[in-house]
Amino acid sequence: MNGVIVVTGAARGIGRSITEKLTASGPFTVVGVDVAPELGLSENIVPVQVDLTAEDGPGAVRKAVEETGLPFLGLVNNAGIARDSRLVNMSDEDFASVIDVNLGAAYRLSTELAPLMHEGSCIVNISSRAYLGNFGQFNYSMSKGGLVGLTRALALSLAPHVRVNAIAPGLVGTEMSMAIPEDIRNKMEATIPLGRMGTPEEIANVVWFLLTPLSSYITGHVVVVGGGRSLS
Amino acid sequence: MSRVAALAGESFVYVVHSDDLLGRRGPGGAMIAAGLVSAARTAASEGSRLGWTANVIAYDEGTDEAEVDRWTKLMLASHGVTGQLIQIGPGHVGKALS
Repeated sequence: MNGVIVVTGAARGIGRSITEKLTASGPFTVVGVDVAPELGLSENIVPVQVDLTAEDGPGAVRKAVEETGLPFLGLVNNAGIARDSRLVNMSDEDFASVIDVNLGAAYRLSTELAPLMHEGSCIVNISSRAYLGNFGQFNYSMSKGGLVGLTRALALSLAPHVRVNAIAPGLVGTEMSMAIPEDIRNKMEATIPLGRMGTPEEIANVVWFLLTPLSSYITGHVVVVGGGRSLS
Repeated sequence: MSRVAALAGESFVYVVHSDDLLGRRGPGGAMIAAGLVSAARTAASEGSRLGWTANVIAYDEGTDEAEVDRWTKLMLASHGVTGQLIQIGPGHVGKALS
């Protein structure tokens, strides 16, 4: 069945891989939030450029979904930012902006789109392994933990018709990760039992699993996709 | 408040409701409770070198407040226990926070 899936932060990194996976592997139209029209990832992508932290942002996404005339199948809350510093050095502005973008926007968009969902629809929240705790990321870790809480609450409140799950990626080869100084990145990679960073495609594969009937009896769960780093 | 405590080199404890941790009381409480557990774990990693700790206590509905108070004081006095989630009451048994 052709239908619409909304992916936030769809222009690059994990979001872009998710978008490409969905449009290449299934009969899906993706409303790609943050995708510039000229980027033209695929003809099955409806680009929407909105600020999800603005009051009218989620409504604009809903309008884009409704204008496709297709059934709404799912939402992937992927957009996120990082403003890292130790707790003792963290500014109020950096704390608030990360919480608002990573968590507040996901909550508002989920709430806005929930009425469009029906039997079989799914939400996948892209959290982070940092939800387990990560030095120097008080705000980011808290926002990603909050996403896990949102996942649990929505899984209960939207059941039995809608499933809600989360993914906690570890170190993944995105622009954000590649911006980490090489020596630090190498040290981080050395702590990963599988010996390497993950790829955005490996995250997209798990999103696919959670969005499709392959995972039809899973809801309210967090899948850590981190090469075993949560153990090492 | 967490930053103020950390700057002063003081330990802190977040107290949340178990039902919020499980998402049973809606998104607002769930986001805060789960977010605070993550925040405590991150703060624990930062404070361990500086001598302060960060922990979370989750209590079930009907828990004796004195028990929450006793555990809070215990956690604040501890130098070795940090980044922990202490759940008071049996409500978490059979539930998964993964």
